[in-house]
Amino acid sequence: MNKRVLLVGLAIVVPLIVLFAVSFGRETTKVRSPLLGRDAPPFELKVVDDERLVSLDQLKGKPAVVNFWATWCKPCQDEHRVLYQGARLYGERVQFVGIVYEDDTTKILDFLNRHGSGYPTLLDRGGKTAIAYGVYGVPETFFLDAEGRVVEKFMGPLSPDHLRMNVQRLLEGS
Amino acid sequence: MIAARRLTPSLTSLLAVLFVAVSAPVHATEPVVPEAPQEPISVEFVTSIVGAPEGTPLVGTALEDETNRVSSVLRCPVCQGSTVGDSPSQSARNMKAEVRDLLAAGFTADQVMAYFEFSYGEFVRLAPKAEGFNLFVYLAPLLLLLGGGAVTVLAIRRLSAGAPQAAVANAPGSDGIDDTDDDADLPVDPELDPYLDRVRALAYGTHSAGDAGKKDG
Repeated sequence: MNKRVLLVGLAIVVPLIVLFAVSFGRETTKVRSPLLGRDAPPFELKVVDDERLVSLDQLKGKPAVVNFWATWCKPCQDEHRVLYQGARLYGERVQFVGIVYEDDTTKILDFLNRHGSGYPTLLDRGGKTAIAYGVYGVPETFFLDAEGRVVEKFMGPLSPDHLRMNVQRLLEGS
Repeated sequence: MIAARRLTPSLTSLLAVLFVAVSAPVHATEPVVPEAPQEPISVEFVTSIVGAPEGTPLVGTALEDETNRVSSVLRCPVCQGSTVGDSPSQSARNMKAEVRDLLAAGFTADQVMAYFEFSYGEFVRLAPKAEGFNLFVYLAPLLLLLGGGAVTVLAIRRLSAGAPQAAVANAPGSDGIDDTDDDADLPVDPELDPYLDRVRALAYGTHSAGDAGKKDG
């Protein structure tokens, strides 16, 4: 009787433990986005500090790094330095674009004045572009190939190594 | 049965912890920014994913009702266990506005869900589609209920066919007959003997049933 109860208990508990072990062991910064391998959702957004519009079509021809961020997000502030340096280093071969997520124009301009701006920062009013890209929160970065296909999605702040690794992957593929 | 009784509170606790962990809403720390003029939706882009609008463009109360209904089955991506309709986060408000825009453009509720699923994956559906592995989610409670019912019925049958009837029959004074020898019919289980002795001691006094029977006899 006791052995039977033990077996039934194990049959219930072991799958739960395996489920939790697998789920908690996942790499949280690499998310399997449904967009991977597909054409990136198009956008045409206004640059934060002038009336210019930047679209996905304009980015095609070179690999692109599309970063969703906000000034109220502390990890984004830390990540900005990495992207700024990345744009200086790879800017001729890879296009960098920042899309601001749920933020205020004054605060964005203030932030960029203090920390520097090495690439276009776009306003996503109403968050429709973020929704089209399936953004869960910020920062999130999408790596697009020269044809505008999503090659990788990265959740959380990029480290210099993460950025280098993904950009090199883009350059090798182009 | 004793071990099963011990296991039941543990399982109940585990399920309670899981329920609390899953249902507790955790709102993101994103601020609520003032309403800003929104970019219009790209009907062309949405059409490229879910096809041309298959419904009638909704307006007024019908639009609001359908927006609320769709938002109540759409998971808020920055919350846990909360719907777009329930969450006060800015992301959820943006998503609800997108739902409204799509319904107003003539897309059906199914098309709206398919559009969100395209970018967020099936996770965005609060209730997963009843197909493939997801069927387990729908069938598991039923299977557990049936299994639990079967175990309960078996346990009751076993109990009613075994020791309790003999114990009642053996109760001193129940029929005035000394049938101590019926003990021989009881299942022999060394593990249960100490418990049976304690039950007999509680029911018949400080002596075991055998002793009580002998005393009566």
